[in-house]
Amino acid sequence: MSTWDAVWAGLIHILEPTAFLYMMLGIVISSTLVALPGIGSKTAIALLLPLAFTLDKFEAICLIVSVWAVSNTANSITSILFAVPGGSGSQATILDGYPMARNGEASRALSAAFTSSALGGIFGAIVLAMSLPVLKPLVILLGPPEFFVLILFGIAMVSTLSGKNKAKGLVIGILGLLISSVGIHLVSGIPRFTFGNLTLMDGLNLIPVTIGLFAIPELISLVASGSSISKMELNNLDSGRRQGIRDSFTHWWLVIRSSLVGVWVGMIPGLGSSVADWFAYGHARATEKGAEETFGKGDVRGVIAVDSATNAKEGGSLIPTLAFGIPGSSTLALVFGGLLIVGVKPGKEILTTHLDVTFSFIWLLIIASVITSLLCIIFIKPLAKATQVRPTLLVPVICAVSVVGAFANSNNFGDIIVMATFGVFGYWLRLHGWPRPPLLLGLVLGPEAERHLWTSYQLYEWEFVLRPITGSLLILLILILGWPTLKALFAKLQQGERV
Amino acid sequence: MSLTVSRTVLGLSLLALFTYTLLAGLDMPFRASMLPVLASSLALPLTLIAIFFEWKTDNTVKTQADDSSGDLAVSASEVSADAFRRVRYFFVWFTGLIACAHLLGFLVGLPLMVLIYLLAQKEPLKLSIFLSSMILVILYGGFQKGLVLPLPEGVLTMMLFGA
Repeated sequence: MSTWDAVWAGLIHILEPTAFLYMMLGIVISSTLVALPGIGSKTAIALLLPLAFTLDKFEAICLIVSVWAVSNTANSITSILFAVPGGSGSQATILDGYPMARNGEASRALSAAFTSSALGGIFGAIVLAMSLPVLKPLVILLGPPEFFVLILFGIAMVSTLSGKNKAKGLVIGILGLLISSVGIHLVSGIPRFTFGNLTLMDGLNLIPVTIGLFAIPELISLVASGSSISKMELNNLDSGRRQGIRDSFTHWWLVIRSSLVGVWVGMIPGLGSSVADWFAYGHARATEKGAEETFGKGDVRGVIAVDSATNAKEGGSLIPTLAFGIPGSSTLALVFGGLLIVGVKPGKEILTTHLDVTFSFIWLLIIASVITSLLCIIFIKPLAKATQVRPTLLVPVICAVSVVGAFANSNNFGDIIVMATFGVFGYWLRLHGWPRPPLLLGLVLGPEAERHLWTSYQLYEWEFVLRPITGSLLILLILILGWPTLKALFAKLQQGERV
Repeated sequence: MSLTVSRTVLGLSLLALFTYTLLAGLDMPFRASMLPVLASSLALPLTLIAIFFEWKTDNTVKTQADDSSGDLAVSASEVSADAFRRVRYFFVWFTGLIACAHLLGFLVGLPLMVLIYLLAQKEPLKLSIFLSSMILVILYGGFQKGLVLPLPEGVLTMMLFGA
């Protein structure tokens, strides 16, 4: 299949009526769920994954990818209206979005955010498409040892960027790898860590673990905080939409630069949305005319920079995911896990014989971004009202849906117990600052890591770590992990010399 | 249990878990043991380092700086005595939800427990009944009929009324 055939076929796949319908369903549900207080994109994806498994390949792709691709867009609503970040990627939006809302320009800020989001999404998708010719030969060059180290690299990167105590992230990432090994080992037939339990014999499924790890702790957090943002005043949302849309196009150069920042951040596994938004905000503040005086006081450029970067990041993060099978973030790990289950396997195949699937992703990023932004602009008021739903109404309803979602995965009541157990464990981890996302990444990448580890060992024994690319990656990984310690050591030595 | 104790228990539990996986892995055939042994050997020293750094820092409640990975920080209101009381009630209700689903079946147990939660939270009766009915509609219409997912009957209802 030539590249142009693949581009066309990719578009046709998602324009099939049922596939398109599932994309629309994904967009509406994702935007609504993300707008609800305390429900993040991971919860939204986890709750929808059981539905995806009943669909055919392209319908499932449309549902899963659209839910993920648009999850950053509606995040801006609570940031702008109430100064409460809707997700980690919308924290910097508060800096200028909230002052705009207080100045009576809420609608303008929201429209600018949604439009920039769409433009950023399109830019990210274009960069992804342009990177494919470079990625193809690169992926073919790599063998099992390189892929094994790349998986470790991906888990370590997500782990190390999770707080001051980086060891915590690494421990949880490794725990994810170990959890992936629970069940009967497919090759040797040996049961591992099953304790004779039938549910554990099949291994721990992604859906109940994810719902438990992410949805339940968020619900507990809603219960614990005991308050909602519903008491806050809803600012004027009637005028300023057109101005907001115009702003994004007037500052097109800022949109492109911020999107580039987003794509760059997305391409590096581990750097998440919040890094993209702060980087883009910092870049805009440093380069825009008069920004020093106006940023932080309600400058629309601050909103535009952040929102174009956070959505462009998604296209960038698909580059390592599709090429090397390394999800750039925990949300993408969930998407990746879902895609594996519906039969889409990233790597060589998806860039060569199944290139149409890759272009479906690209088209989805473009079309879903545009449709979501349009819907968000049109339905600003209902979405803003959704943010004010009382947690007491949300908690029992989402809990009930979570129970069915966990069960639907394998029609096994044991999966509900798995979900509840991981729910309590996830709350415990969150309470003490142990990051949960590396666990998910370890769980999703574990089987691939084990396969590549064994093949590498069979081919080269332990000497596989000495191969040029593998060795270089390992050294790079050690340097990245050890750099803070080395820096502190050098600083102490320098202080000692001065004394 | 205080937060400091809970934090220590979490660290030590992880340490015990990795020790177990290492020892269990060593008993497995080589091919099946590769990942568990390699992962546990790496995790044990890392857990010790993580616990050491936790103990070195002060005992005040720290918020999670995990925003890069998609988590928002734990707010101060989530770790108050009142918050923990609410969480305890939630755990009791959640256990009841799962137990009810098992005993009474999904179609009866889940809407019933949603209704109980809403009424306990002093939500208006009409709204509570409406939301519980919506759950029933989603379960029956969406999952059982739409997705052709056979939702299980309750153990208790089976005993009392048969299949």
